[in-house]
Amino acid sequence: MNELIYIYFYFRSDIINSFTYKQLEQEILSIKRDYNSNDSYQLCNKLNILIQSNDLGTVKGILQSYKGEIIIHLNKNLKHKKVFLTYALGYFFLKNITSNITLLKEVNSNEVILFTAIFLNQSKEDITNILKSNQAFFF
Amino acid sequence: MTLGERLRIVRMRKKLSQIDAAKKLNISNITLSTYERDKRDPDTDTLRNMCLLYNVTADYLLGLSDLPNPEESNKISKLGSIFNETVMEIKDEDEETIYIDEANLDEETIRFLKKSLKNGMKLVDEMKRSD
Repeated sequence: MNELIYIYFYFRSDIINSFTYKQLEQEILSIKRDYNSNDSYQLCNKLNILIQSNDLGTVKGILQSYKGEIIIHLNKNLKHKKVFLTYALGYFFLKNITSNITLLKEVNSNEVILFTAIFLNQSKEDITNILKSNQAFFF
Repeated sequence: MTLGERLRIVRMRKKLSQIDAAKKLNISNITLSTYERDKRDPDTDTLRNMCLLYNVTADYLLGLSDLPNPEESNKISKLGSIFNETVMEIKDEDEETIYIDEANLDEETIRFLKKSLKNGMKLVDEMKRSD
């Protein structure tokens, strides 16, 4: 029974447990203000989040936590690294992390896409197109 | 990451605004903001209340654990591995062994991932040694 409840919340969590647009905008404003940064690379630096760029095959990014440190791995073949870095950062801020390693294989969280769009001052449609059209590697 | 950074992140993951969280914690949102900006540390009672409200361990908030709630993680990761974005834990005791849920990943990608994750671990180990 407990497992069924977890499955239910796993599927529904993005819908029933999300910030509204206004709340998310407020949170991002306060992050930018408190860290005095509008730039996702700079914000990672201030949060002591390490960024690595490597070939990750078909995976776009990884969130890794190890000995209290956070590492964001980005696939070096991504075309819009800054957008993906912001997505990974948004994922880290907004999603329950239940493992030391979280693979970002697909871009499928509306709330995190919205975070990315607000953070980068872009429309949600443009960011969705960039995130979903980017290929993990070139053919 | 600092205590303040972790406090902000776990609050956001709970989808609570600073005002709503402060109300539930029976403190002012200005006080909560000073905690999240590392201007002050919460007292032990408030820290305990934060653990309960955010459903995280004190170990996580104090930087002694990488996972916010290891007990819950155990239950969820089994299910999460079926879906898109979660894999298994790193075991790093005597030897660096990385267990990845291999579902839907090709062999080459798994090889790349293991290499990157090990490099990440090495980088952190080197940083800790030089501190």
